[in-house]
Amino acid sequence: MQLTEVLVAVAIFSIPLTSTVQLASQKHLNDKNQFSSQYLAKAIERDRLAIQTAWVQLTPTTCPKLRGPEDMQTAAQAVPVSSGLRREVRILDDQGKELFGQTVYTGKAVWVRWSSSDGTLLRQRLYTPMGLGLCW
Amino acid sequence: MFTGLVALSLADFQSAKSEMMEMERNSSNDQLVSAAQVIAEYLQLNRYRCLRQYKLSDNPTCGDRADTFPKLTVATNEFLNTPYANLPLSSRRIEIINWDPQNSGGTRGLLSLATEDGNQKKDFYINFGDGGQRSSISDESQSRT
Repeated sequence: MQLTEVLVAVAIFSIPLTSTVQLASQKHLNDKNQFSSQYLAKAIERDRLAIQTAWVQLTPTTCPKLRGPEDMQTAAQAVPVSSGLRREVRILDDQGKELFGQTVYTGKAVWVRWSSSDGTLLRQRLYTPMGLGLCW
Repeated sequence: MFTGLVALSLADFQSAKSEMMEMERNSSNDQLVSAAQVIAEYLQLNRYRCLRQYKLSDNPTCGDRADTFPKLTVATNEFLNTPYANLPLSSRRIEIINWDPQNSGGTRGLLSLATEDGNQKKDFYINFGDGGQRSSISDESQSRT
């Protein structure tokens, strides 16, 4: 067998071999990412339920009671966050929106944002005292 | 072996695609819930309270300033987009597709919201806490895709 034939044979066999190794590593990476995002999705859902449970135990007050969102923020901060997850609870103080030549106001609200440890935003949801049944 | 791995990779791709669609659905769902909370707050305010007594199809106008459901929709979208206007999660606009008062006093109603592309719809029962009663929003209904 000539050297050229050997080289051609090696080249032919090495192409699928390289592709196989690349695909295997890609599959491993995909599996890892998939596991990670499934873990985070479940952790976020557990966290959401935990802080909502803490919130519905707050005492209802007259609506709109300005203290409500601050109490919600404090209660949420007392709930521990799962590892690998970041939770931000931010009070949105509505400054009014100029619409159709008039200023429209609603009450204060609380934005909850869940991010991964690298800071990627995964979910966000807005909560209000009224929506949680904390006021009348 | 090579074919098998290609098939596995395609399966992974499909799985990742399903996962992306699920995340997208969660994101839309969260935005509908957020919108319902804001709309409930607006309907609680004196300014929009009169709208509670009418169906959306009645096309009601309330007060000297002619407050309407379309105006409420705009206000809600503006409010939702205020703090995070540049985030993709906030980019979908919400429409009020129905408001059905469940009693004559306007203290309870069924609010139906949908994303503007029509891909997701959700119903909420809203109880307003007038007269010392505790208010609530029920988002128990299943969203449909």
